[in-house]
Amino acid sequence: MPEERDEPSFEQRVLRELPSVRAYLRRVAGPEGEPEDLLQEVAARALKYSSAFDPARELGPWLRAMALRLVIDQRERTRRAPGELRHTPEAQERGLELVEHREDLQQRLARLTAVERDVLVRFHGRGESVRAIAIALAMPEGTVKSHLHRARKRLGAVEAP
Amino acid sequence: MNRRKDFWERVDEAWDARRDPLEDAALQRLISEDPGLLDELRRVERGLRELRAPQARRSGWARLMIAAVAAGLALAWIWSTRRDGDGSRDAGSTSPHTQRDAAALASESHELDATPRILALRIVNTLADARGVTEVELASGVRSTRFVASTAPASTLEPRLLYALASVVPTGN
Repeated sequence: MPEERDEPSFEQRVLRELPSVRAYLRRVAGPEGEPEDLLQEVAARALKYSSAFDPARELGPWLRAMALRLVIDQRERTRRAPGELRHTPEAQERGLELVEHREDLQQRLARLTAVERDVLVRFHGRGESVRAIAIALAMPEGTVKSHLHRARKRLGAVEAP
Repeated sequence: MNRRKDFWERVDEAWDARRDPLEDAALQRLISEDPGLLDELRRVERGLRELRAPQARRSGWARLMIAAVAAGLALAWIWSTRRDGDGSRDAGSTSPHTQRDAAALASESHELDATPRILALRIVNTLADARGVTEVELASGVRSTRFVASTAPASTLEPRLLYALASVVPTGN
């Protein structure tokens, strides 16, 4: 008779995934990103928000998404950090880049075509669906998506590949 | 080049489906191969957040305005019914000031004096957003508050807010 094994608890599963999340954080955040601190935060958040986890999904990507959010938050904080943090060359370089981006954002929005701006605001600002936008603007859904993708690219100043 | 193209195609796909691109395992792999992509994503996300912010601010103001208007109308109605109640007592009325309909109130007020007053108050608040259309009706005179069929979830803030306002309107007893 096969021996029945208990399903690992959520906490056990998180613990099992943490080494790979640590390696991932080291690669993405780098040593200056304090990956060990971020890992602690990932573990704490995972346990805190365990009820939000869909058991049908894989735990690893869920934890890594959390880790990436923390990296983003950390970089945003560095951008806003006053005083000595801004005096390190790296922070200054990054801060300058981000400040420039922010100042440039309104200009970038203004540079979008009217339809790109309209589609972008409708989708991301008002939460309208692609289908609803297509009906409202009397254009195929594919065209709406094309405008949307181009507008995002321009908004983020992402170079065309 | 191809990595970046793949990355943005997948990001667009995720955003179009209103999914978090960071939860996509393939995107996570691409970010680990080129961490600079995360900064690019962050820049676009920040831009999109700023698009959402004015909407949220407007929505907040709209809620505030609805609350202020509803509160003002409710106060006007309270003031009107109290004044009317005083008038009824002055006229020797002994009937309780409850369950009065608009017609009866109109008739009675005509007998008392010709001063304009609010005889009935009906507030219909229609809210339209991505979740659907919600209609909230607050009616005085018959002193009832009812929700009209709504496609929005029960947790929608505005109806609750108005319901709360309606519930503090005294019955005039």
